[in-house]
Amino acid sequence: MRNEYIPEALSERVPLMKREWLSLYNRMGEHPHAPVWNTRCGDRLFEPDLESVKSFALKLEKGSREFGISPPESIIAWCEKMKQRSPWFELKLAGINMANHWRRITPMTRSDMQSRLELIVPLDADLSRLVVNPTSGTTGHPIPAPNHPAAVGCYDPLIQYALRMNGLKASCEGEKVAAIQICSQQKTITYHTVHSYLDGAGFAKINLEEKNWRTEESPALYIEEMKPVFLSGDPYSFLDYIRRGIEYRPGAILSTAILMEKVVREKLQGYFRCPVVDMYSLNETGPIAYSCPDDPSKLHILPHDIFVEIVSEKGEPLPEGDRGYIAVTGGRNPYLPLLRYITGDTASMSYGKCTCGETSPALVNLEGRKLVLFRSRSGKIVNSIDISGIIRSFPVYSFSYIQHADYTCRLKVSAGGELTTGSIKLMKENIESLFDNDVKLEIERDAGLLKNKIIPFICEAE
Amino acid sequence: MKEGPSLEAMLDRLAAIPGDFMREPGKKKKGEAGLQLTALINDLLLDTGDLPVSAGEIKTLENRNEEREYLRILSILCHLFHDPFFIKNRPDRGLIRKFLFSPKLEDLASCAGDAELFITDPDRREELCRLALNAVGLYPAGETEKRGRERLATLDSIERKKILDKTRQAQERAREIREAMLRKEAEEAASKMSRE
Repeated sequence: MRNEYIPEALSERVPLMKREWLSLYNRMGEHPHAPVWNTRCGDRLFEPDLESVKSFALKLEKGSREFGISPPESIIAWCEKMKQRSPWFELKLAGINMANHWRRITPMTRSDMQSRLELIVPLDADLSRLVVNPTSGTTGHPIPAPNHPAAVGCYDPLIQYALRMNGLKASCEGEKVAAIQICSQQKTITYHTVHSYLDGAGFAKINLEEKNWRTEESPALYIEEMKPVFLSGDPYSFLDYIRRGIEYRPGAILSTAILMEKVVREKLQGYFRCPVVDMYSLNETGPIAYSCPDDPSKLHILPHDIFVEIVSEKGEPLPEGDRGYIAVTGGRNPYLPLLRYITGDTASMSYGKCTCGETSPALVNLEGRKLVLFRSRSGKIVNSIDISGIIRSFPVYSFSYIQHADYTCRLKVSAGGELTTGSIKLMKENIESLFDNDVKLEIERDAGLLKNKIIPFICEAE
Repeated sequence: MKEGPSLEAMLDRLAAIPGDFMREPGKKKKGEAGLQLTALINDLLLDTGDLPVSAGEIKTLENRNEEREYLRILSILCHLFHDPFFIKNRPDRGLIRKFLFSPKLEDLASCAGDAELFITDPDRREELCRLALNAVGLYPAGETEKRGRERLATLDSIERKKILDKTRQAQERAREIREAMLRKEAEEAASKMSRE
């Protein structure tokens, strides 16, 4: 019987795969209207990893997530331990009494993460389990962050928590498709898998772009048949979902990668008639905050093992209500311990228990990664994620892309010597092809981008 | 700290070290003339106003019989401290003894590899002279205490080795991480239900 056999390629990717999960896995993959799958992926969790995710989930549910402007004791204790293991922590915490002089600790920046990673990664970290998840590159500083399957596995309980707090009642566990991630890009990876933490529940990452499907109706038919508990994606992909008239309504919408504007939220709520949850999450930090069910303009700090503060450019903590940079300390990524890591986005902070029942502080008026759409002269829409996808495939530290009113484009990049003239030419050709070659692009180097706060995408074309 | 002899005088003394001091130290087999280091140290301590070598110290030296470069450094220092300046001006009792039996000299021996460098190499020669002066609370005549400390810091073999080791370790770790990242970027990641 075919269902009794677990292919090796699958058990390598889902080490805890069970035979009873195979029928769902195969149904997702082999459905007559399934998209073209262009990669294979799994949770890569072994038994000890799963135990660590479960333990994290338990603490997330039971532990205190309340903190004020000063770091809680648990964070100070964590930093003390990290001082023995990470040269970065040893260097930055030398001679500092954290409880009294936290503000004196020099913040970590994206530039540090790109150029001084070897100081941040703990000396005793076993690199054999390292994974690198791709980023959509919406921040202008594509950081290929190292991660561990157990830390990536913690996304599941974090997402479940955020959805449940926003009113999702259905369980995501067991023999069902927990989620489908909707992408709307010219090129992205697509795969289907099952998650061990969710007892074999299915997950698929699909791309609405026509060339991925057998017929025009296939996306709608596939999603309808799979009946995912929730849909994840970014605001642009959900707008494309609506534009294509796909009728399936899930139990919840989880939007990440790009900040959701109020007007988009209203449109999604009107269409899907279910909780629309915005999650602030970065590749290098993991999920940070989720939108409050009572007031979606604020986002509650999500994990119990991070300390988030609002600081000035120099790292001075700012009082409640003042806008400043978001800085994160802590986390569970064994390769990337964070010490006042400045994400590059800004917000103010609100402390105290919320009407929704959440006790963790909330980021208010988050200003971050915005949805930017570009246009070819013929009117074709180009998603900024496609542009960053191309830029990310080259050794670029930082970038800023602008389309002028006359449709011409200029890309400024900060990069090292690895970015050759040949690579720049290829990058230009690839990006121009997104615009069907009717828009001219100029690429120039700008070393100053690394130091400065940048707006990655600007469109001045009407 | 007090002013000691001039650095030049110390350097000259070191450069003109008699060949006997550079002979193989430690106990030798019958019929071979090995350097009698215990006797040398004993003479030095007595001549500079200290007590003779103790039984425990003799045992320590015997236990280190195989640590050739460390013993040779001790021998060189015996010559250096046997300068008329120290015999006449007698440093505070115990300071020479403390220095000779300190772990610092073991570190110095392991950094240098060959103790003869402290005779032949100008920087190492100066380092040993300054270390010896510093150990007995002196700085070279004609210099200030601050200048003496700064110059010693720039010559410090142990610190330099530590820095080089750390740099080498950091470079090695950076290479490992870079390679792991490149390898893993080319492979598949771990599945997650949201994107960033």
